[in-house]
Amino acid sequence: MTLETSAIIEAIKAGSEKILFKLYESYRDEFVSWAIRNHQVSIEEAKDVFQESVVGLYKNVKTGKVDSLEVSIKTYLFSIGRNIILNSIKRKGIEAKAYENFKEGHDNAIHEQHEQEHILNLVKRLYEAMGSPCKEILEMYYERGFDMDSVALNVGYKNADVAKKKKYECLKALEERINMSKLKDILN
Amino acid sequence: MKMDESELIDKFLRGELTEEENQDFLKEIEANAELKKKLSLRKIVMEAIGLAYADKLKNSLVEFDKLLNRKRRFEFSWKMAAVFAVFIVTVSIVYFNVKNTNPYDFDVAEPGLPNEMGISKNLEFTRAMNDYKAGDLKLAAPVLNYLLTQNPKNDTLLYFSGICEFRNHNTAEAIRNWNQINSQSVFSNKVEYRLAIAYWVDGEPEKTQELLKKIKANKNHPYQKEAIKALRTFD
Repeated sequence: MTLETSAIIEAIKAGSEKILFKLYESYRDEFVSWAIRNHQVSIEEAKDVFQESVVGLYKNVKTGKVDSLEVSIKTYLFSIGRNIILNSIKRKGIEAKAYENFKEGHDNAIHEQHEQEHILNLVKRLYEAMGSPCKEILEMYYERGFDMDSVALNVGYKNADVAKKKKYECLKALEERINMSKLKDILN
Repeated sequence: MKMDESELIDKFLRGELTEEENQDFLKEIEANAELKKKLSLRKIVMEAIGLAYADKLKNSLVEFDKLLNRKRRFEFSWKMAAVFAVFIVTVSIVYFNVKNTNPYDFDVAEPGLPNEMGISKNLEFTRAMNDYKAGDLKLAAPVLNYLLTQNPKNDTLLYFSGICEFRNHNTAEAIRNWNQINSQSVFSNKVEYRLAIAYWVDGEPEKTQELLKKIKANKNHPYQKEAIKALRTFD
């Protein structure tokens, strides 16, 4: 991998999936060996963690948490992986403790967070249930940051206006489904 | 929601509005509760699409991992095949070299004489030559040796008897016969090479090399190429 860190970040921002797979291929084996050696995880666990690390890198770049890096991409990926492993170990301990010290009670913050996650998961499921090309159009536009010209090109539409109209219809259909579901009451 | 309004929300969330448009939109949100709700919903939709994409990416990486494993296995097979091929080639080379160090492999073919030549008038010689041509050297050798007792200086008899003895693994006899052929004989060049090989079989490689080098230096020697090839095994 000879690509500069900044070029990698720019490629991820531009919605390139290829670069993520390239990173995975380049560092997977090294990460797996490192994780097994230093954290006593299995090969499958190490691979799973590294996949999460690549997804984590993607999310952090997309949400703007990572705009430039002082370290190499490899070091960054390894630190995400290390955090995932350590959090997982810590979580296991906390969960065990929480179970031991469990008392009935009501924590509003936790409840709100849980409800937010619940809403997101329901919307996610409604989105995932959408057919093609709606799913692809919404993904390209909202997640991968494509402009309408690129969306049109990728889906095979005549021009950006046709793609824009289709995106609007897809979004309308999704929002209607949300409104028809039980989420309507929660959201209102 | 109308398309224009939907577009406006998208542009606001993607940061594509001008500073002025942005300020106007923020004011509109404050004043319009319905628009505020639509904006919240759009944010949730975008976040959900992001989550779905992250899941999809994770699944794609899982599949890609399997593909990588298959690719590595394939590469490994190729590596194994390459190692095997190198092994076979090495073994072949070693075998070839070992095989070529056998002096008998440097023996050259000698078709024999046609029967209509002067000497072939001798019935016994003709029979011996026929046996020789048929490859039956065990039969040819005693006849030629008998004829040699009648005509001990005959270079043709000495030459072919020598070949029979050499191929019958009576190397000393072959050397003795060939050494009696003088340098004026038509067989002298051929004998020079045959003697070199016979000395090799007889465990005298210095004599062999000396003769082979002499032949190598002679551009007109009929067995120059063969001598060069034989000399290579001494490198």
